Amino acid sequence: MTDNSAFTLASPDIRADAPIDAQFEFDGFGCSGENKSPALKWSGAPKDTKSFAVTVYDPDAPTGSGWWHWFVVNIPREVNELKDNAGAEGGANLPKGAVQVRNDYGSAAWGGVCPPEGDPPHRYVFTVFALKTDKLELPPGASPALAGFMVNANAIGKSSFTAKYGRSKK
Amino acid sequence: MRIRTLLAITAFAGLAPWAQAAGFTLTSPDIKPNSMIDKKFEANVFGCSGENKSPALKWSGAPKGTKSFAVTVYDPDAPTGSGFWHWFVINIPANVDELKPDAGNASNANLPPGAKQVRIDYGFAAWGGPCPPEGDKPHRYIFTVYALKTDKLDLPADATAAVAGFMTNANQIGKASFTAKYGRPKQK
Repeated sequence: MTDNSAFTLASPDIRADAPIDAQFEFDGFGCSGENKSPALKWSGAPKDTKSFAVTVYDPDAPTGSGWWHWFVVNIPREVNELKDNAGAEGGANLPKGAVQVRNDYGSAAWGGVCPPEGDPPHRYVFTVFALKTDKLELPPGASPALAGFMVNANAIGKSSFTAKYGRSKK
Repeated sequence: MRIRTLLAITAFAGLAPWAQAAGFTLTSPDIKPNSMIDKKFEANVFGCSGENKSPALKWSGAPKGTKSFAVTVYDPDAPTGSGFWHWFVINIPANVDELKPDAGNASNANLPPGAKQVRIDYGFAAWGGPCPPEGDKPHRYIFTVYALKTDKLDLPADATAAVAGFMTNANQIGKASFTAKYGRPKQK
């Protein structure tokens, strides 16, 4: 991970440490956003990167294990971004070859932010992982925890930013 | 004076749930708290070779008003980014105070009537034993029983453990836990 410090992830839609816009909110479980994934761009990946994975995780969700909102694997090495709404169900907006893992809502797609009303704003950690393998062989329906295990085992670098989202008590 | 009154009220208001929680305990005849888990409980997948049978669990002192129980086993040390759910049982009737050995069998035949297993992080709805990476420091496995204020959690058939965890936390009126450890030495 020698060039890890140069590896950076950013979003034109979400500033680091700032509140996330309501359009990225989920559209179920009492939430009513557009449930579209934000655009993401990265640069400075380690030289030996063979593929990328991108995750969005809420460590503050009151579940006992946080909440995986998005988990994309097998993003080809020559790709350096995910476009707006890349997380649509079915994968039509993903780079070729990339695959979405089932998130904690149970869908293989972007599952937007939806913290309980009145909770202090939750943190949402956006991460891109540079992997030493071009493909993760995951069983169909693999849990995000299993995908997370495989990603960590193959990571040669990663870059993250964190943003926040809260919903006031009605 | 006002502060003293406020403190007294706070203490009084806090007393009932605190007293209940203190009496609620979870134990296993098969696993002592803070000790090593026996190899027979190890998973039989992902390079692990145990019997993958769940240990017996017993609880007592549940709060009055308990309508059902949930039982979970979670490894916070799994290198996944979100730990690892090894077992998640819900809708255990209020008159039940134990899970028998191998209650986590995938057949569901060993569960109390009405109880249901949620899909865990291995991807199946059953006990999935410990299987930490070889050479890792022993992981912690947290065994928890939750007393719930509802007799049934209505979860979709394929609900994730995170959804079940959210619903369990939202409905719990008490819980009791113990932690045990498991490690696998590096193979030469």
